Amino acid sequence: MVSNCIRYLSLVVMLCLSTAGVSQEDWNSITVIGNSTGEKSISKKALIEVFRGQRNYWKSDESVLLVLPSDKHKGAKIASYTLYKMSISEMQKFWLALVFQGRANPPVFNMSNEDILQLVSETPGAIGILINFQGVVPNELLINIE
Amino acid sequence: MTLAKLLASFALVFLSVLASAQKKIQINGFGHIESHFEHLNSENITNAYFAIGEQDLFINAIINKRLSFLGETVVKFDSGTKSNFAPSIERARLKYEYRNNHSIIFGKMHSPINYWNDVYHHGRLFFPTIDRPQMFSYFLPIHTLGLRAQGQNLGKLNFGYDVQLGNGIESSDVFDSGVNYSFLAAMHIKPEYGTRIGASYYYDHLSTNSYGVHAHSHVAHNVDYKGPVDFHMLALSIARFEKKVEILSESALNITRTDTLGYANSFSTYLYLGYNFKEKHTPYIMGDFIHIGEKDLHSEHTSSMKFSLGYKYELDPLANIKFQVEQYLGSPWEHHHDSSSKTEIKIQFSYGI
Repeated sequence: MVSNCIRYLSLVVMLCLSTAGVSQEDWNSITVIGNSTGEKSISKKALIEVFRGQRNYWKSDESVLLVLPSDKHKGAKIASYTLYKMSISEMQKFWLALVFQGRANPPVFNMSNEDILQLVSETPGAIGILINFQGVVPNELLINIE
Repeated sequence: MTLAKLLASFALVFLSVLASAQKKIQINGFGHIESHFEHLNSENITNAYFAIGEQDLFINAIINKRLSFLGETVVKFDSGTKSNFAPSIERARLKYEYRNNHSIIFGKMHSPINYWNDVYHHGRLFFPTIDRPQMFSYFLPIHTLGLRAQGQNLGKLNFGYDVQLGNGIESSDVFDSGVNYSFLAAMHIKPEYGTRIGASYYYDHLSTNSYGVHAHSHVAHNVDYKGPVDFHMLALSIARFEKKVEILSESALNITRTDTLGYANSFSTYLYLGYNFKEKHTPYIMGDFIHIGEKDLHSEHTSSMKFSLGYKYELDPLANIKFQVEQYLGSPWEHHHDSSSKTEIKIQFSYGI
């Protein structure tokens, strides 16, 4: 009886640990771009904080505008898991709830890397994520991930 | 200029405004529909019915780099109208961000008195359970029209503060007699993502123990007492919403003082525990207790306990369905039978567009 209980508990613990270990982050697929942010490089931790709406202004005094891949973007899943550790739908709900609270302004969701690049290049303060982008990014927009 | 040119110019201006507005304005709608099956144990009465809940229009607009507007108008049940529904301005506020993560807010807003009132507002889509905690129906001052200083995500602990001065419990949205501002100071920390711990203090002086649009739902309001009341409230919230486990604890202590009976203590506590065993499936339990003190002249004396067992299924980020079985335990209360002992089964479909 006791050994059966121990076996069962071990199984539950192993199951929990295996679930907790699941990670689908993919930093290698991500290119960060920004316009007049005053940042040439950014740590992963700081980038995650920015994309979770914890920062309203850059050091350059430009207001932060987040530009994210929409659910129609092929790389949306990579962005949601890497930056938010969430599925796409969880990330959408996260933003809907945060804006509804009145504690953050909404991000812009774009369908393609080209749309994200264009919006960021036209908008001072904008920061965006390109996923598996093969094209050329202007040097002044590129932000290195530390 | 010919009429055609004038119309073409107007159309061009309209389209450019519309294109610009698409980037700066977010409009959402929220609502819910419910089905109830309840049995009032003390009276042996059973009721089964459907109910349309609040229908909520939400607007967030960025006016310029530092100024934004947030509006929330709800059409909700109102027994005083012919259709039993009436529109209500729940939030209309301007926010000026004067420094990184520090703002001044002016207008009508939800009092940041606890986690629930600061985060969920009228959006049933975001509620972890079907109903608000019971304290919302008794002594919690939900809204304020006034001025607020706000800071958030400060330092390593993501410290946040709210200090607020506004029209009090007895006021309307356009008038308050005398000089009786309510005062609120709230703070919270978010030591890690998904966790928020907060506390607040609220004070108001009620000259005639009446209530206006910013108060609670008034179900226990003591209509017989018309004297002055000093109203103090302390609230504590602990929220942890992680991938698997969800915990929300809300507690409030309401201290009132009258010349007649002196100090009276009332308190309420709410505890929600949910477990996401799959991304869209959340079974949960909830316990909710409220006690209005015998010497409290602002509200009528009562005690009520409520326990729930529920299940939430998320059909989409913008739609979910909740199924909840509730048991109310408490002394039968002559003015409000909802608080008497009863068993209730509820289904709520909540949505956002």
